[in-house]
This record gives sequence, C-alpha cells and structure tokens, in this order.
Amino acid sequence: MLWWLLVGCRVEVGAPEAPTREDDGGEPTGEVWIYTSMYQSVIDQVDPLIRADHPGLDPKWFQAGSEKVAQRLEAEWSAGGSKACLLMTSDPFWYVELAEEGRLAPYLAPTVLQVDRDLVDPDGLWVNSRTSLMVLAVNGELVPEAERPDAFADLADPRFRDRFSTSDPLASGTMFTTLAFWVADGWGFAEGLKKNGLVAAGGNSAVLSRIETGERPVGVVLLENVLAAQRKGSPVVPIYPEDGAIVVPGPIALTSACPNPTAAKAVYDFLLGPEGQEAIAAGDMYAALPSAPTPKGAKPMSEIPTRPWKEGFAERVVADKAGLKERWSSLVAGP
Amino acid sequence: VTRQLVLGGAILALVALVVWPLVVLLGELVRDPAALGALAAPLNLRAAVNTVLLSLATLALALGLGVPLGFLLGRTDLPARGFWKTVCTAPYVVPPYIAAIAWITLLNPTNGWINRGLLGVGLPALDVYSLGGMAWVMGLEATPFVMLATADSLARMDASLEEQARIAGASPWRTLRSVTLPLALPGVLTAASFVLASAAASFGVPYLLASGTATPDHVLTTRIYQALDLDPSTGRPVAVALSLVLLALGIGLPALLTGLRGRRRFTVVTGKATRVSPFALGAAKPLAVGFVALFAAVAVVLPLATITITSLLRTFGGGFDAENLTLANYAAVLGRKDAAGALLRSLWLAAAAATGAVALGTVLAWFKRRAPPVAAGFQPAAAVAWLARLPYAVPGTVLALGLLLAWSQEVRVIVLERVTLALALADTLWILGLAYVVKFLAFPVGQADSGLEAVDPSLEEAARMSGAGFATTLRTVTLPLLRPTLVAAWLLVFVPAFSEVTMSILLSGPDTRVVGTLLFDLQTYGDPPSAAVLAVVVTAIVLAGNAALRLAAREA
Repeated sequence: MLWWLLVGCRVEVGAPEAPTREDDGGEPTGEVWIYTSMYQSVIDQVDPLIRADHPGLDPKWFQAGSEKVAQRLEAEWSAGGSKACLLMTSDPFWYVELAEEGRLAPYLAPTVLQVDRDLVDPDGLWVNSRTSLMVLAVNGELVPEAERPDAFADLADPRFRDRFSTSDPLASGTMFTTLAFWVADGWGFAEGLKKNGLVAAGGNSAVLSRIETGERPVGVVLLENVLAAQRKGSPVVPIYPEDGAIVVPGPIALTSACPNPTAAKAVYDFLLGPEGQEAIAAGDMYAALPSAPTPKGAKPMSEIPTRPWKEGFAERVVADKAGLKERWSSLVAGP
Repeated sequence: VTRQLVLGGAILALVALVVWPLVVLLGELVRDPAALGALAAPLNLRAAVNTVLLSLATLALALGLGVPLGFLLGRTDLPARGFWKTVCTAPYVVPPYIAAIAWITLLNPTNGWINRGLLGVGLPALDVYSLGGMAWVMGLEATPFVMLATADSLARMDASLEEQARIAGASPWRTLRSVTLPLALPGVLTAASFVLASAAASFGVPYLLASGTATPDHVLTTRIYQALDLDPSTGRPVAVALSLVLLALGIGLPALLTGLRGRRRFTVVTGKATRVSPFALGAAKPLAVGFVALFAAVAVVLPLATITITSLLRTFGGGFDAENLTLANYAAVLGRKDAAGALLRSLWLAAAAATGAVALGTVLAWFKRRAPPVAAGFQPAAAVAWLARLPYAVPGTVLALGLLLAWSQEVRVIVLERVTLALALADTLWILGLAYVVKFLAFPVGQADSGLEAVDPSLEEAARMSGAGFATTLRTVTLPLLRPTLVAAWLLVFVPAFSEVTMSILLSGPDTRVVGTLLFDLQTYGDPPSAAVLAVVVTAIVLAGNAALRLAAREA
C-alpha cells in the first residue's frame, strides 16, 4: 500500500486550505466541476470560450451517459460528498427527485425568462437547458414513402408487424420518458406494440443500427442521432409523428453542496447564455433559448407537433416510477 | 523479516482494495434490507437460471474446443505449432462486445450476412439473439484460455512419468489417456473455473444479445444494469443483492469442479525433469490440421474480417460496393483530439495494472501454497488468496460503485497544523489502475497458485539449505520456474484492462479518458463503423504486443 500512498498523495504546505468557498459575488476563479451528458464535441467547443471569458476559472467536465452520471454522483454522495457543482444531463425525472431530496440550490440565470415556462422549476431548482426530441425514423431505401408511418400509433398497425424497434425504457432515460407519455392515458398502445412484435433493446444507437441494416427498418429514436447519421450519408430519414414528438428536456441545475458557487454560477450563465446555447444547437439539439438557431437539417420546433409537459406530470411519473417499470417488465416478458 | 514485510504489505493492499469496497457494498444492503426481496422476483429468478445455463454452455464449448486444441498445440508434432498457437489466441484479444457486434452482423435472424446465405439456399436462419448465441460468442472467446492452460500444463510436465508408462507396456494412446491428460487436469480445472465465473459476471455480450428479440433472455448482469440505470440510488442495494447471487455462483460453480478433482496431488515439476517428447500424430495429422484451421477460420478470421469490413463502411448496412467503402472512419476516429491520449494512457495503465496484479497475486499465491497452517485445518493465507478472487465474480459496474463508495472521498491528514497530506484518488489514473488490479487480480492468483502447485517445494528447500535467503530463493528458484505462467498471467490482466469499458466510464475523469470511455462514446454517439475502427486498432495493438512479447520470451 505504501507505493500507492506515496504517489496518490498530494502534500500541501501552509495553513490547511478551506475545501469550500463562500459565494462572495466576486470574480469567479478556481476549479468548478460540471457533471454532464453533453457530447464531448459540444464540451470541446464551450470550454475554451468559458476560459476566455473568465481567466482563472478552470471548468472540469465529467462526461458520461445521463444514467452513468447519476450513478456516479449518487455513489459519491453516499460516500460523503461530491465536488460536482453543475449537473446537466437529460433525465428530467432525476431532477424532480433531486429537488425533493434537497440536493439542488435555487438559481436563476439572467436569461431564464426566455425559457419555456413549462420546463422551468417554479422554485428555480432546475431549468431546461436543451431539448432532445424522440421521433420516428425509417430506412429511406427500404421503406418507400407511401409505406412510412405518420404517427407513433401506426407502429401498432399490422403493416409494421416485426419491422420496428425502440430502445429499452428500463435502461435509457429518453425511452423511459417516451414510455411515460405513451402510457399517461392507459396501457392500450403499449400492449398493442407488444402484440405487434415489439423489440425494445439497447440505446438510441442500437435502434439506429437496426434501421440502417434493415434488421428493423422502422424505429423510435432521438432526432439528434438521425441528423448526425444523415450527415455521414446514412439512408435514415426522420419522421415527425403527427401524434406528437416526445420532448425530452435536458435540465441544468446547481447543487446545494457546491464547493465553488461563484464559479459555478458563471458557467451556468454561460451555458444558458447565447454562446452556450449556440454550441448546443450545433450539437444537433434544440437550444432552450428561442433566439438560438434550429439544429441543421431539423424542422423548427414551432412547426413540430409535440406532447406538452403539463404541470404535475413529472411529479406523478416520479411517484409511480417503480410501478411503471414493473408493469413494463411483465408486459415485455409476457406472451 | 523481508518475508513478513512482503506478506503484511500484500494483506494490507488486499484489505484496502478488495475487502473494504466489498464490505461497503454489503453496507448498502444493511441500509436497505428490503432490496433482498428483489431476489424472489420471478424475472430475477429466471435471470439466475439463465446465468447458470449460459455459464455451463459457455464452459462446455470452451472445453470441447480448448482441450483438444491445447493438446494438439502443446504436445504433438503438429506442423507450425507456434503460428497456430498465436492465431488461436486471437479470440481472447478481441474485446467481447466487439465480437458480439461482429456476430450480430453475421447471424442476426433478419439479415445477418451468414443468414442471408442460409436463407438463400433454403435453410433456416440461425438466431444469435438467444442464450445459445451468447454461449457461442462467449465460448469461442474463452477457448484460448482453456487451450493455453492445457498446452502449458502438458508442456511443463515431467516426461519420465510418460516414459515409465511406456516401459510398463502401455500403448501411446493409453499413456495419453491415463497419464498425460490427467496430469493436465489441475491447469484445465483452474481455467474452467475462470470461464464459469467470467461467463456469469460478463455483461457486454449478454447486454447486446439478451434482448434483440421480442422475448428477451435476461441474465443477472443485464438485470443489474436495468436496476442501476433507472434508479441510481435506490437501485444500488438491489444491484448488490443480485450481485450476491453472482458471487455465490462464481464461488459455487468452480467449487463443484474442484470437487470433481478430489484430493489427489499433482506435483509434476521436480528437480529431475527430462525433455518432453512430442506425441506422434501419424495418420491423424491431416485431420488435426483441419480441426485447428477450422477453428481459426470460424473463431478468428470470420469475426475479425467482419469487424474490419465494418470499419470501412461509409454507412452501416449500405452494402459492400466500392462506393460504400472508405477510410474516412479511420481519419475521423484517429483524428479525434482525445484518441491518441486515450490509447497511450490505456496502454501504460493496463501494463502497470498487469504488473501490479501479477506481483500482488504471486505473493498471495506463494503464501497460500508455502505458509504453514496456523492451526489445524486453518490456513489464513488460503483464505486471503480466496478473497482475492471474489471481485472477478462481481459485475464491473457494481465493483466500480464499490470503489467510488470506498475511495472517492479525499482523505486529509493535517500534520502540525501546517502540512496537509491529502489522498485524493478520485479522477486520477490511480483509481482506474487500482480498479483494474482489483477486478483482474483473480488471474495472477489462480495462475500462480496452480503454477506453484506443480513445483515441488523441495526445490525451494534445497536453495534455503544452501544458505539462500527468502528473497534470493524467490528470485533464483521460484520465479524462474514460474516465468511462463506469470507472463501468461500478465497478458491475461493486460488484455481486458486495455479495453475495459464498464468500470472505466464510471471512474475516469476529464483528464483520464481511456480506450474504454472512447469506445463507449463512439458506440453511443457514433455508429458501428466508428466503434469498429477503434476495435481494429485495439486488436492490432494487442496482437502486435503479444507477438513481440512471445518473441522476447523466446530470445531471453
């Protein structure tokens, strides 16, 4: 153990450094940790801009899938604490839970009034920072235009029997959100999908692969994955479903135990500001600020029929999360 | 004194790295005992049964292929044995989930490349999305492991035993059946228990193959993944409860194997070794060559070619005409800002972890074999070696969470109010390297253990009597005899650590991204061709390293 102590160790000479700083409203400096599921390319774009705006500020990004970010942070909290200051992932229900547990601190960025009111926590504990859309997609070479689905509801139609797939709602946050909307008014549609040969497996990239290879040429998938694939020359085509694309908000939040709140707020303001939002749009997601451009190759949000996030919906889903998962598991495992 | 220091250090390291994180994980169950109820859920029970079936099927395939291959390559006059041995080791080098992607491309029931051919001639399609499919992919992956263990045991045995059998009038086949193969048993059984434990704890292949159909075949690890991914905090005790079943299987299934072997002793390397003469295949030679070549074609060439072709596709599923073939994927992946850094980092991190694990594992195994029992029937060193094997049966995600729970906090010691010693492992390369050591420690412990069993203690005793101290004996007698075993153990840690994904994505920080995090990134946000590019590069690096190591070992 000695060899490892020697090198894993850091020695500070001088009075012990206070681990936590007060929010003094002064110049933001020092390390600030952001736990996020944003694409590495978006991080690579915003990081130098933040450093240019605030010399002396050192943003540290822990980047992984939304579910992994949550797992790591919850483990760190259980162990005694985390240095995470800003959270920015795409599982809206997690933020509702964190707010209930008192893990988040209220903060309102200067631009917050421009964000869709339905996607702002009334206490200011979290705010939507970017929006992903769950849409339909088909392989344009294998599914002629006349035979394509127009709505999610079509997937239960015998025309698409054994020809469509989704990601796994028990493992992918975006698909869980989609399922929560689908079953909000009853399980009839989900049961119809099951009867029609549903495959619900893997993440969004798995659905996209199945579309591209023709293994399952129709799918429910994130629009951003489709846009990125199209740019590479893939034959996949997005379809904005008539019965409402699913809006998956990606909240941003400040933690209540943040050791460097001044710096965290500066990064928060940047990410929810015009420059940060533009970088997000360049990463194929819809920005939360209406002033930012629409992602390249996508329809403007205002022209897309979407399912609205009504007040209290998120709280209801969180309260019955276990029941929803249970019912889905037995549905899929059934005949 | 050296002896006590080394032992003390090894035990301390074991407690800090293995025991403490496992205890902390068990603490999760104390916090929420209701999670044990998950064990009774019908879905989880079925997953447990599937896990057992999958492990046994994987083992059956690996033994059925690995033992004959090991014998042919280790003890016969098969032509070009060195070449075939290198080729047949390759399945172990391809990261398992990459192999799974290759087999999905080949064998998915709708339009797998092989299935298109089968359907074309009127045969039924093979379905890779099944327990059988998982066992196929994992069994091929595990075959080299059994093969090397068999070949190694056979090559190191004392040929005089065979000679005595021949002198007593036994035919060559009879000698083979009643002397040679039984002597290879300890090595093969050690390998077999690894195959069982690793099949039960493996996640990548089942994750990709468990649920590609309308009625998914879940195993315990995929259920653990689901429990954790939607409920990061409340799911953790459930994941620990399910991991306990895996641990029980990881211990119980190999124990069954040990029971098979009984209490016989297998000390075959003594001071009086004679040269081992190869077994003449005679008329069976063409058949033997055919068997080895067929294995190489199916288990090596087919998946590697599939991955290579995939890495060259402009769009996945777009066909193989010249228009759709491109090197652009290579430029895009290798041109990434983080690619070179991640490859280099993983390379030396895996090498460091392999070296650390082999050092620690050898010490633990040596004390297990050579330390005198403290009381009748109780040997603490044996218990210690047993503990070291536990983490291998725990899924990577759960193990990584255990390490985070145990070691993510900064430990500060303030001396004289002026000097602060801060042990901060989180987001350093240390926590990654230590995670690899913990997870794969079972390999060197097991390898060194069966290696030491075969070495007669009288050799060491002779050195001690001639006045050599503990360190000198170890350096001049024990280690040289164990060298081939330890080189193999080093590779067994290095290869999976180099491309490890599940622990790496949870433990790596912004400045410590590795091959695993890059691969996950490409798989999640990229496309199969991009992931295939990295797989080709990783496989090429490991194969080249493997070949270089073998060459160096031969010349030394």
